[in-house]
Amino acid sequence: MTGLGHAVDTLAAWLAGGPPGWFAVTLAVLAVWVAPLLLLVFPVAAFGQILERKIAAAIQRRKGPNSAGLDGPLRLVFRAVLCLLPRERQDRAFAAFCNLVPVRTALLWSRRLGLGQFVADGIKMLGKEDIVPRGADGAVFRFAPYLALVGAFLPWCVLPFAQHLVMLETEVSALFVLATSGLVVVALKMAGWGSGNKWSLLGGMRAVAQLVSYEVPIGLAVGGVVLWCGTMDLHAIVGQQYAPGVFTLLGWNVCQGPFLLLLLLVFFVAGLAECQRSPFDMAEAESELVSGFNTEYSGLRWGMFALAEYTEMLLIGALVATLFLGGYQSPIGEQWLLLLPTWLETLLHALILGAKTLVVFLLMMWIRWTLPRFRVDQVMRLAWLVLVPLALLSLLGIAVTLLVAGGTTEGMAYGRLAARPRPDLSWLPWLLLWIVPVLAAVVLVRAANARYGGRHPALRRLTGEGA
Amino acid sequence: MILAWVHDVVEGVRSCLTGMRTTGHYLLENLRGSGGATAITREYPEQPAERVGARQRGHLVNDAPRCIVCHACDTACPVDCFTMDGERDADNKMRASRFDIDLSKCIYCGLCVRACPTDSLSMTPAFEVDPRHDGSRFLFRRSSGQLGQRLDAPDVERLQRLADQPRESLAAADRAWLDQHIDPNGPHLIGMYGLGYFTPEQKQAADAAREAKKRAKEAAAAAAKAKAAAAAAPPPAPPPPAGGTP
Repeated sequence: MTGLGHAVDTLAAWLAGGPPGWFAVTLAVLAVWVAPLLLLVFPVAAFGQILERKIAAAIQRRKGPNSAGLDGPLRLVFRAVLCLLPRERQDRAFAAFCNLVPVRTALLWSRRLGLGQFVADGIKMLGKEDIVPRGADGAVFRFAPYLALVGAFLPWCVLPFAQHLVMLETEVSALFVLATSGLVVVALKMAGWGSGNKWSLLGGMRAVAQLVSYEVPIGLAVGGVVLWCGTMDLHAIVGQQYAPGVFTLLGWNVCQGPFLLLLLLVFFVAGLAECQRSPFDMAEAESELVSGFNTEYSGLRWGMFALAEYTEMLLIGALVATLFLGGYQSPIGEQWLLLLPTWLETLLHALILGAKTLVVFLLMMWIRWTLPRFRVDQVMRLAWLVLVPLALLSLLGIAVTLLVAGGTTEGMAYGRLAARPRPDLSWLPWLLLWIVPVLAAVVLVRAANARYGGRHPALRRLTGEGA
Repeated sequence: MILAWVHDVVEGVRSCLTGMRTTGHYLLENLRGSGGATAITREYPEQPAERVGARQRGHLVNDAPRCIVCHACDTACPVDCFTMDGERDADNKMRASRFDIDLSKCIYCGLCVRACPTDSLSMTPAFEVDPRHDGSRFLFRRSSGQLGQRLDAPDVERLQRLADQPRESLAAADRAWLDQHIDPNGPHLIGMYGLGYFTPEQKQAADAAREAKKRAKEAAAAAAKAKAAAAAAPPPAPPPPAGGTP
């Protein structure tokens, strides 16, 4: 075990002198794994909510939250710290602090950006009544939000944030991600069933149908990457995408030919559907199902579902970055980054992964505020008739390329794991990998255009022409 | 079949990208603040509202001298926000002695303006109510004893001006004047447009003048009548019959 895993062992061993062993281990796990994870992901998810509201506003040509600043929370902090002083003294100290020019500017900007919004929202949510409907299956209803949160948080355990910042190094982390994120399906079904409400039930059924369907293309896409990299270890997959030289990004999976690019698209679209976000928000389609599976939820339980959704969005972003965009590696000059002191390198790597995640996150918001919601049958059609065939096609292409691949190049040995060698393509596989699929795609698209004259087949069917 | 599928997928991706180009354009435009609604949106309470439409239906005002207290507005009003009283002035014309508009009831529908036969009611573009006053700027309370006191337009202005200031900062004379005219615990609400009643002396004088006028008018009418009667009373002498007594 390296990194935090090692830290857990050390802490557990240190604690083991006093309390019983299992208690020490639990405490150590809480302190070293869970607490940083929560401290990291909670604020990021809260920030994501503000970001989403601002982006949505900009796309809809509004201003978005622009009044709730951080001065209120700051005043609370002042009151808590100076609780022994009388109230006027506290307020005077606070006013003096806020009048410092940089503080004032920062507070003003926090207002303009609406940064205090999530504090206000959180307090509002805490103040709401926690209602369990009379017809609800109480235990199932109460437990579902926790399970959703667990399903959204568990996959983070195996994600490599930096070279020495992996909570759990396993050989099957890709499988672990797929398996644990599947918990969300159960949670949504429980929420839908336990609410004792027809809208919730319909939403839950839709959620299950959609999530189970889209796990197929997600699984196939991950399978394609696993096939290409020859390992199920996410950290090894990251290491494998290392390319020596200035332009590290040439080694990323997304640059390894059209099939992996296609897989990226499949994974991204299916990931969007896994997050239940528009245009795939069938499960909580508010114009059809009130609010779907979370109709009956209020207050903090509802907040857990919202948090799980944002965490899952971030997870999809981080997975796209890890599987296809070189993980935490810098796009240029990765080799020089590795020469830096460990703490700085770790920090930079984590920031780079965060930046990549943020880019995917923004793309998801952009799509959400652009496209209208699909119909149920369209969602199913997209999964089974478009994404699955595309993923299978890519798998086939990757397999053929690997069959005829010439040599191999060494990857990067990050952490304790030596990456499997990456296929080094001589001219024939290179031709097969790039020229042939691209040519085939161009020919097919042109033929389709020539046949259907640029009109959508649905439209053609509607007008009855060209039969 | 495969071509239809390819075309379907390509068209789907293309239309998706077209939509994203549009929204992306909006996004960048708004983030730069160079276009879209963000560029022209004013943060209203902080920045003044510069323009309101020409037909904005804001606060209702009554040009009291033109009002004939016909109650047409009262009849038209769906929420009964008017309270009015009228008295005849020296010229025997109806005149509003009291015209209160309860702005906390008014729904700014404008029906009263349509109904007004003399165009004395109109809606101004003004729509702001100072939140510090909870509407008290427009509605003052009076005790029963104060109800008879007349408030003319300059008095209403003075009342508003004084009510805007904290009581402690007022001069003693102003404070006394305020106490004389309004009572914060009084049972009666008067509106900012209320002119109040005549003072008893004024009422007496107006009544007397009206009475005198009436009497003069009656006297004139009687005189005219008497004159006409006098003119008609002596019947014209019949012409002497022709060939009478020579």
